[in-house]
Amino acid sequence: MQQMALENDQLVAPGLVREQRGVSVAKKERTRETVGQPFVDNARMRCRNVNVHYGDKQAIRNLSLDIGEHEVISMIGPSGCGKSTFLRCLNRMNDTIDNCRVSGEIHLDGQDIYDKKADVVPLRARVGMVFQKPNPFPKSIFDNVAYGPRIHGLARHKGELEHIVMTSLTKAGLWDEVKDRLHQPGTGLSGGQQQRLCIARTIAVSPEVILMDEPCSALDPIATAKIEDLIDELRENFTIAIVTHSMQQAARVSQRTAYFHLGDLIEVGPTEQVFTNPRHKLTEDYITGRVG
Amino acid sequence: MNQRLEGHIARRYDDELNHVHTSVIELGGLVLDQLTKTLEALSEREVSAALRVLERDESVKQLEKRLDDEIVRVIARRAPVAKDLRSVIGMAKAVADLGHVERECVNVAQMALAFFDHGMYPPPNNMMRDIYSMGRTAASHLRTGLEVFDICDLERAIETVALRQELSQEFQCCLRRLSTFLMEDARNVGQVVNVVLSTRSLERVGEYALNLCEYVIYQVTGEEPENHFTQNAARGSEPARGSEAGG
Repeated sequence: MQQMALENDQLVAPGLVREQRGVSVAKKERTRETVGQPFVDNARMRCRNVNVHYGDKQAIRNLSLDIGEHEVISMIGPSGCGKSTFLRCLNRMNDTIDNCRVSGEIHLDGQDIYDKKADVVPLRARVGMVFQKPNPFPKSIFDNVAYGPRIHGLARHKGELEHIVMTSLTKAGLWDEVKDRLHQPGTGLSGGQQQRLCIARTIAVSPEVILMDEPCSALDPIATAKIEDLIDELRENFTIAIVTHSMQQAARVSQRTAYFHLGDLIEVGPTEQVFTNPRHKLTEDYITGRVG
Repeated sequence: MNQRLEGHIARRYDDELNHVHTSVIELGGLVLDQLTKTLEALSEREVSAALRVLERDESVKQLEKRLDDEIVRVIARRAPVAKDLRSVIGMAKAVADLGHVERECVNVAQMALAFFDHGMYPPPNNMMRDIYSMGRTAASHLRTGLEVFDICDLERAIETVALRQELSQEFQCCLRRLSTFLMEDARNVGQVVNVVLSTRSLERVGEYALNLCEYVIYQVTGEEPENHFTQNAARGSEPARGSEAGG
């Protein structure tokens, strides 16, 4: 029923928000339907009626959302609203949590990733993840990037492996800074460089989707700006879903923005529209700093 | 206090927005007073009223500049979004338009001085009545625009914006009436031109005043009404909407 409501749900008419003299308010207030555009035609991933429980506690309620090809979709919301939980559903990272239960359907290129026959190892190569805190392996810069292609058998010989490493570091905007010290430890890099190394590691296995969970929250403004620039370049080749606490970052890097609130997906829409004229009052209250 | 601007977790943000809003209304009050003095100068042939308008021009400009700076600071500090962003943009545009109104008042005040103080032969009353009539309309619109902007009254804003066509038509009527003076006696051309210019300035004041209502519509709904009046339209570089005279 929820899905039907969503598919029939039209954009709330911009209309007039009449806040004076008791005139009825057109903007949706305090309801839990998703307003806006949760679905797209060229979806890389489709999520339908996704529910997530941690034991008895429901973290995500009946969520349906598409992630479009070659788009950057940002997920915003207050702490504990379920955005990181949802992000981890997209590559089954929640499988590592004992009491976490995921129901519903999540399709990657038409295949349900939660199907019993689905293999999570290649899934996590196709849907890579970059975490909040940079986590390079305790290996050299070269081996950090080469690790994934090696275990997935993506390189037939050393030359091909070197080419993958160089290409990945170049795409991550790190090649010029590390090309003369590839055999030095990855942990010796600065925070921003480490994060770009992690991005290079992710793209070395040619993913289709890159998930980023607050990738810049541990970085300084200059490193953040470089990562944001990089996200914009990566969009040409990858689909990116990013969780962020910075609304300015969401406004800068993404084409669509999804607002989560207490486990519900409240609103999804073009980023420009969400940040200038959100359709749902909850969204407006959050992004204007009227509710935390 | 404008409730639309309040409710932030950071109370200082409320204060900053309210301060800007209050200052915009203060600027509007000053400009309205300038307009009133200008009209008094014309109707009462009060040279001192016209001089007062010119004397206060500088202080109005300074307030306008202070407001511009304050708005920039709010944007830099707070990076407003959604309705806060629309409110700040609306306030910035209102400041700009009130500045234009002020400059039109100064133009008309200078014309009044030219009529009554500089030895020119002032236009007869029957020629001046169009200025008085347009002035009253402009003052009424400016008063309404400021009231609507102050309390963000959407319904009244929509009703008032609908008067734009009437304002344009009133100006067209003035032009037709004034043209008859030219047809009667070509030597009237100097006075007619001065009256036309003054009437045109007051018509623009009315247009800018109606813009204040449009900014309220934008602030509340996020939709910008069509046929928005701009300085370019006033100069004739864009098709002057509703005005065949142009420029």
